[in-house]
Amino acid sequence: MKFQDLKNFFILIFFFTISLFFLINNIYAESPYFYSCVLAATPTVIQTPVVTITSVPTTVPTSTSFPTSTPFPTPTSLPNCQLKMGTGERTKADLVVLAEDYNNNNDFLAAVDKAVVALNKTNLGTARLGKINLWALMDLNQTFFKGFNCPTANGVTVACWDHVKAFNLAASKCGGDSYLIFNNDTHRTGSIGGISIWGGTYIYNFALDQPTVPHELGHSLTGLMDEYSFGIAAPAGAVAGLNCSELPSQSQTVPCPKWANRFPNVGCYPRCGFTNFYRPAVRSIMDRGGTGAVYDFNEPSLIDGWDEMLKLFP
Amino acid sequence: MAKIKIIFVIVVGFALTVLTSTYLSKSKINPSVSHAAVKVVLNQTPDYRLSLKSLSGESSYTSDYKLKIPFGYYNVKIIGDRGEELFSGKVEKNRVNFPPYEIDGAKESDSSVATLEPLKEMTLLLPYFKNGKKIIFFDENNLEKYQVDIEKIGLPEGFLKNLCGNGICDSGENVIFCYNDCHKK
Repeated sequence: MKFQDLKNFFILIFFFTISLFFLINNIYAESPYFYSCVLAATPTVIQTPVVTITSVPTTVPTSTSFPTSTPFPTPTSLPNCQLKMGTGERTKADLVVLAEDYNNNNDFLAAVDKAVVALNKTNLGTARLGKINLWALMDLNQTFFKGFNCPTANGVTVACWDHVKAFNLAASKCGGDSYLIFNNDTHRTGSIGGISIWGGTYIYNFALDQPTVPHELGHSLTGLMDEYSFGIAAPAGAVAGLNCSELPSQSQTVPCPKWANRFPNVGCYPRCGFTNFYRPAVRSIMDRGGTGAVYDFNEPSLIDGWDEMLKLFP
Repeated sequence: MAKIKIIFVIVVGFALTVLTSTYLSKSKINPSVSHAAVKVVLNQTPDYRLSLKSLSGESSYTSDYKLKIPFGYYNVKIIGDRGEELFSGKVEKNRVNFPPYEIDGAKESDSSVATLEPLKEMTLLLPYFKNGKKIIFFDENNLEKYQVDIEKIGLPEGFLKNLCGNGICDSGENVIFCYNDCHKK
């Protein structure tokens, strides 16, 4: 074999190896790997203002998610899961809306759009909402409701639904961390707009124009308590929760002792669920709905509730 | 001839380095298999004792289990065959019912308050690792509560074959073996 032939052979092996490496790892000249690892890692090389690079992260996984084995397609293409809010990055908190008794996709998606509007009306802001993906699971054939009189351990009966089924569907189909069931008012009773347990919530269609979705997420995601009156004093051992205080301050406009150091601008107003607990603001979204309902969370709810809940999501 | 030998050694050395480093970097990252889950169903007694009801490998996405849980939880960890921690998260151990949200029923006393009780059954969809050995549940004080052996958990037959074509470039797929999912669109 001539020297030239061997040289060509080695060059061929060299490029074959390189090509195989790139192919197996799904690396392309325009792939997110290059955007995130090559371009983002060498910003100083580019002298002129580069608009394209700063705009890339909206569709490209961040450097924290690299290297991954699934660089594309974008997460919005998850089968049956339609992204309605957020970027779709898998590192975010994923909330999945499940449909019950909707007759067509358009009605269901219009309902989910109302939820997005309601979330954007709150004071959660872009930083917090930016850590959340809201997905709609396009499966209208599921039922979840079990009845209005499900017993609980302490004798109280509550409306209930199949939580295990709902969570499994949300997690297995869309990678959900929590779920919201939207019921098309088929199991509606009175003026109840939504019901929550920690980890999931059940919301009626008629209530979607109200602050129902963010209020219920306050329960199901962050564990916030209601701030309206239950009409009774707290029984022994009742826990106030992070947005209520067991102890009053010397006046309503002075923060309750538990908030005095960290939230000097809040107050200490009588009634926070139980009549002998105290709330940090006159009105907040965790108060009752209907006339006078507001969309804003109070400061302890935002900082100790939402920020704490979202801190593990980049 | 000496020149050829040197080039040969360089080329072969380079090829080996690239392939070995690719293999090692993948082993080090220990990625979970995408769209695969270990489904664990646990029974829980009112005094928080756990027992295994069922265990299986599923073709499924999984939750992150990163939410902060304010009403009681278990820390769950997946341990690999070399004792390394592959995953950690939190799962709730109580069912907490909140009072209904009234839209126009501005009544001041409905005597409905939040209730808390231990979950009777817990279903988890945890990420699947090829080298996963066991799942350990710890209480809030990091005391071990329960352990599940997952070494023998397998994925459904034809799992990877079924995944190709789902529109997502899953782990184990690449443009050579699943062009439709992994080529640039």
